[in-house]
Amino acid sequence: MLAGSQAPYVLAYVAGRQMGRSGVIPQNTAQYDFPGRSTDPFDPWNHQVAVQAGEPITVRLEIWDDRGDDPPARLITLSGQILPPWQSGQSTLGNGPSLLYTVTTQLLPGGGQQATVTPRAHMDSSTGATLSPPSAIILELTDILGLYEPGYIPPGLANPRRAEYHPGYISHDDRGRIYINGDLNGNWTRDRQSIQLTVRVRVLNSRLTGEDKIRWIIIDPDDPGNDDPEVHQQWGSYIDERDYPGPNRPQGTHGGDNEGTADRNPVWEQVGNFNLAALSNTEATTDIVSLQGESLSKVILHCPNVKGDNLIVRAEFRTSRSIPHYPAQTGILTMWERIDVEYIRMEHSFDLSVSSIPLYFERAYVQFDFARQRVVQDRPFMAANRDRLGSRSSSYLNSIFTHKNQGGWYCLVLAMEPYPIPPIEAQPLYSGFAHLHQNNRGEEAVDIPGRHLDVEFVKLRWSNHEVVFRIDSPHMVPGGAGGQRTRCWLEAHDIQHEFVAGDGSLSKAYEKSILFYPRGCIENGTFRPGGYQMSSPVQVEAIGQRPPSGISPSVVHRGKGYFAGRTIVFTHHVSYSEEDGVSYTVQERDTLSGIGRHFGIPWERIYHHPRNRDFRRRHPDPNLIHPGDQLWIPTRRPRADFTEKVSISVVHELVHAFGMPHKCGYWNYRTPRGRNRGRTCCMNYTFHWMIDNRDQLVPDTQGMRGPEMCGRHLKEIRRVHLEDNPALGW
Amino acid sequence: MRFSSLSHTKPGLAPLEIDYAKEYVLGFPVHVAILVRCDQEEAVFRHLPFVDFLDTYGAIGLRLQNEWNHQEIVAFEPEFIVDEDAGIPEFALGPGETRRLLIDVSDLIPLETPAGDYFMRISYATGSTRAEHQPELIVLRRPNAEEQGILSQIKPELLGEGRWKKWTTTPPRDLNHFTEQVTPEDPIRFNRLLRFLFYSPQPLDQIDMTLLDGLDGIYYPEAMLLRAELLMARGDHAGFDRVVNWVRQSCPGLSYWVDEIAAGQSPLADQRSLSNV
Repeated sequence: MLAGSQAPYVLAYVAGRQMGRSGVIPQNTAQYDFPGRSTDPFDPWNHQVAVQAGEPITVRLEIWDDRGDDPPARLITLSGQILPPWQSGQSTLGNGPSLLYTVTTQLLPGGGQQATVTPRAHMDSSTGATLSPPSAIILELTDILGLYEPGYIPPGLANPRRAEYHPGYISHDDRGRIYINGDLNGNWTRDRQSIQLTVRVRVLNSRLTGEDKIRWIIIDPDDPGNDDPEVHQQWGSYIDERDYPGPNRPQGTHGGDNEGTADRNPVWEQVGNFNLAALSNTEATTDIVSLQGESLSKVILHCPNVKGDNLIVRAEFRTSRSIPHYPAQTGILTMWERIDVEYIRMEHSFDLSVSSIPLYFERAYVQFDFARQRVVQDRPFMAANRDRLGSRSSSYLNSIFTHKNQGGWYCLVLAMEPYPIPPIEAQPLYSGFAHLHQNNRGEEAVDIPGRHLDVEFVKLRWSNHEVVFRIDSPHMVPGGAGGQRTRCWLEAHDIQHEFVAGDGSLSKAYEKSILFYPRGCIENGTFRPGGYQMSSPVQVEAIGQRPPSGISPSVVHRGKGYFAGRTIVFTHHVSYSEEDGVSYTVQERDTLSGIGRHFGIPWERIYHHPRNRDFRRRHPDPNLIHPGDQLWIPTRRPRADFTEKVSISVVHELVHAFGMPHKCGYWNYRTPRGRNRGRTCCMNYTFHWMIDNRDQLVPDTQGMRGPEMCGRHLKEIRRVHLEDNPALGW
Repeated sequence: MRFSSLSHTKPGLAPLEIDYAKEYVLGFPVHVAILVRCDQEEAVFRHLPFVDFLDTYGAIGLRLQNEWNHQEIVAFEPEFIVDEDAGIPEFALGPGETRRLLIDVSDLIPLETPAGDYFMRISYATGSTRAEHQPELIVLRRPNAEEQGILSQIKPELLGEGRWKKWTTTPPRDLNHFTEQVTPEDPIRFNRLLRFLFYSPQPLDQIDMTLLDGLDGIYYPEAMLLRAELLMARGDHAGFDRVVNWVRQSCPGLSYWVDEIAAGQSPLADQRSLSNV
């Protein structure tokens, strides 16, 4: 069945929960033993399920083939049920390829009441008996303060977040979230991530003594972030290197992989009079205290501060007496970062459903909760001109972001246009062949005939390839037609392929880059030939001004720029919208500015529109217009792919807010480096190529940007400590 | 691969020219005007860092060397990263254009800096556009009793990084009784007036223009532009044209500001509009 497979591996699910991912099943294997340790209760292949009487337990086993750079293929699926009464012993699932598994059933005693029974006897005899259940201690985890259940909606809560506190929830589904920088009530608190566990001690036919304690144990299970078959193994090893002893050599799930540190040492903290003895950072004991008729024990656990770190807490009864006792344990508890987003829309900007945005961040264990959208007054242009855009955007956000500097809050604004832009010329400024030039540092320029100091971009075409470069500093040089040429120095395509989590500063994000030019690249100040492998002359199309479609104004702190968690997306940008329009008849008491306000358009844009040429001729003074005048109102409408494109931009800008650079040069987490396939990481631009394992460019990968991230961005976002970013002011 | 280094030189910036005060008071703004221009006539810079009296955006470096013992007490290099997403203000410098940028470098000077005579050297931008000027001698002195009183009075509002920017761009608590008078001796006269112009409840066309008379010396060119904005708000086109002529002839590095006002894009009105969002 596995013949012809490349690297088959197993995923197993019990009661809907994934148990882990196996290592590679060797070729020609008749029987494959999961490499667990059968005596270890925390072995990833040893799964404990609590079931009610009569409930079947579903089991599914999938064998996948990891086919390297091609998408993995599912080879076999076995599924079945373990039916009550779940008899202990070995069972087999499936015919042909089959799963041999062992069930160990542990029946927990019920309530502490005595039951009256009637023994079998002669009809004429009269007798009775009492059956006493055996003595036992049963532990039940009854609550975890600081743990949040995804998808739970508390009664009466109008605007629930994506996960909420649910009394009694102990992550039985392994999906429980603990927030870094969160106190026990879910409030943002710097450098604190903790939970408070409560265990109830049920005593059957016995009494507790003063020596009896609860022993708490922490287990660090495997990081499952790379187990999903959709995650390419190249990224799988980056996300959790313990699962990979060598490049592309998955060995299956391995725990003990948490990276973070707790905010205190020891990690245990006493609650009230539940006296604590911390034995180590993975073990502690607490007293059992009788409270309102219940025997309880509580402890606070300080958790690691890296997103995606996970743990299981087990509570055991510790006594010197000989009495059966049954432990309790949580499901997997995972560290998450919760970010609230203040969501603002200008009245006439196009609306965007943000429901899909949080999903792209869940693989990085970030929970985005968008607040209810707030509609604000239009500002048709964010700034008067390009020079003012950065400072005006920053000032605007400062004035409108009500949760500014409040821990755990970002801001997203849907605005209209960045600044007034002259109509884009239908014809390029120049189109034809031109020579490339290189200076002694390896920087390159293209010479175009004539005077074109307004050039901002050049599209370069050669051998059926095409890329776009921004122009840095055009200047005039002698020669060519008309006696002069415009020398356009190209802004390098900077690829930040080795970025790591930092302090949110731009300098850290862009600490290491490869600068790609048409015929070479510069890394660490050293030039090497190659680049886009262009030949000179090259076909050139010179293009004028293009405004930005979004902006995330940074903040300067002690002379360094930092990403600041505030984003403006311009929904009327040409990438997202196209021109539309309506005819309008001027009414009594109308003014041009009033009409403009009504349609959310600056009056100048209406007045100067080419279709209003006759109107302009009849009304040289725009303040004097008359009822009955006909006007063309140049409105805009969202393009067909508006939602997809704007969503990608929003994800892109929000990734920046974690201090992450753009232009990583990678595909998304499904795809390895070096293959032209699928969609690229959302942090890339549309106009550069991706890079391969040797840091060489992969041809024709521009314009393939998707909304998802590469494995590196996913992992590094998990490592960022946002509270260290001074610009956020958290 | 052959390189031709001589004929393929990227344009750069000419050495900075600066306009500065001879004496500054420690703890107060340290305003210096730099003049930026290209080292070639027929060149355009598309992405030069925009800096102003409110924020230097990391694009300004400062070196202060004690005149007496040559000890360098401040050595701060500009760190400017062009990132179109990050909203770092930039501007384009056209062929033959200059740009005057009034900046406050007080944030780069530690509060504990001893009074004394210092050689100051300011640098601007990074990489091939980095520029600086020859060291100039300045005096940093301690505040006198009156100046100390000013500091004490506004101390609660002067917190943390970028304190003068924050103070200038934060509205006073009581706007209804917000009036400002400045004297040439007031070390925060420029910030004080800016704050007043940003947040005064009076419309721009009703603000007393004589307030600007207190801005002399290094502030004179910027005061002329603020005057131009008030004139335009009043509809005094003749007065505005007089200022325009002065700027074009005497301080062309501020022409961009004139152009913005003429295009109905007054930075002052724009800033005021933000307080009403």
